[in-house]
Amino acid sequence: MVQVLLTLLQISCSRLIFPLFFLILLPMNLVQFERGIDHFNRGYFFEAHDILEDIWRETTGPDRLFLQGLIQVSVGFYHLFNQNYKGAVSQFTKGLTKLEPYKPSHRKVELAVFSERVLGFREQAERGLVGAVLNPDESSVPKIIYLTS
Amino acid sequence: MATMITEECINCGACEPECPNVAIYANGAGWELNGEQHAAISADFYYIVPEKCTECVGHFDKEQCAAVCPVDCCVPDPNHVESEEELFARAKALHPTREFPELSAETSHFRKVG
Repeated sequence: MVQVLLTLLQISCSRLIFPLFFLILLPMNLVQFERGIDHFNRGYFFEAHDILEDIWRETTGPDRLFLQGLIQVSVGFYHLFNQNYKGAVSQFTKGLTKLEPYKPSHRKVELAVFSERVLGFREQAERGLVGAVLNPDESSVPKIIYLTS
Repeated sequence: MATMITEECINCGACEPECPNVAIYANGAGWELNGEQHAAISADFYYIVPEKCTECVGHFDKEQCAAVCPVDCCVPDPNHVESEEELFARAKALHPTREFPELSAETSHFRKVG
């Protein structure tokens, strides 16, 4: 098995095949992205941030800030549900600012309604910051959805 | 000014290995300078020791912790405002055996244009 992989790697490193090697890797990142979104949608905000962060590190170009915006919104929810309201307000603000230029959608991810609903949670966190007792409803956290058309 | 980590930190640890001065420590871990051990500055999230931070002056054109932080929580510390000269002197003190070339735009964010 190892030998087969080494042989494949050698073949991939040849001039002709090398670009194809990267094309094969590309969907891997998208798979990871979808995994991150899935974790977010299931309420695993720390894990979602972790997965998206790994992709963010390797990403350059226009997707980079989009990914970082989603990371920061994920971290915002993580802080919110851990009563770190200062951290939540700041992360929601930074994340929404980064996502703003990508609205209404990017890579088929819906962002306009999503951002509006995140804004509602930021307002909750702001109330928590000034001493309000919060009981944020995890089930009402907006899902990250893909547009079909 | 030294760089600090805010309460937005999610303890991912991305910043720690990037620091050229070993000024970043995990929450709860004590810090060391010249063989002396000190108590942790933060129990909740990663922290930067101001006495060891040079804002990457002498090493890089920007703060490496800030560059890799996904949540943008490595920010200038308003309580530790220092000049480029002071920070460069600290870099030399922290790395006594290293020869530092004259500062340039590649080794000091103070010299970056724009």
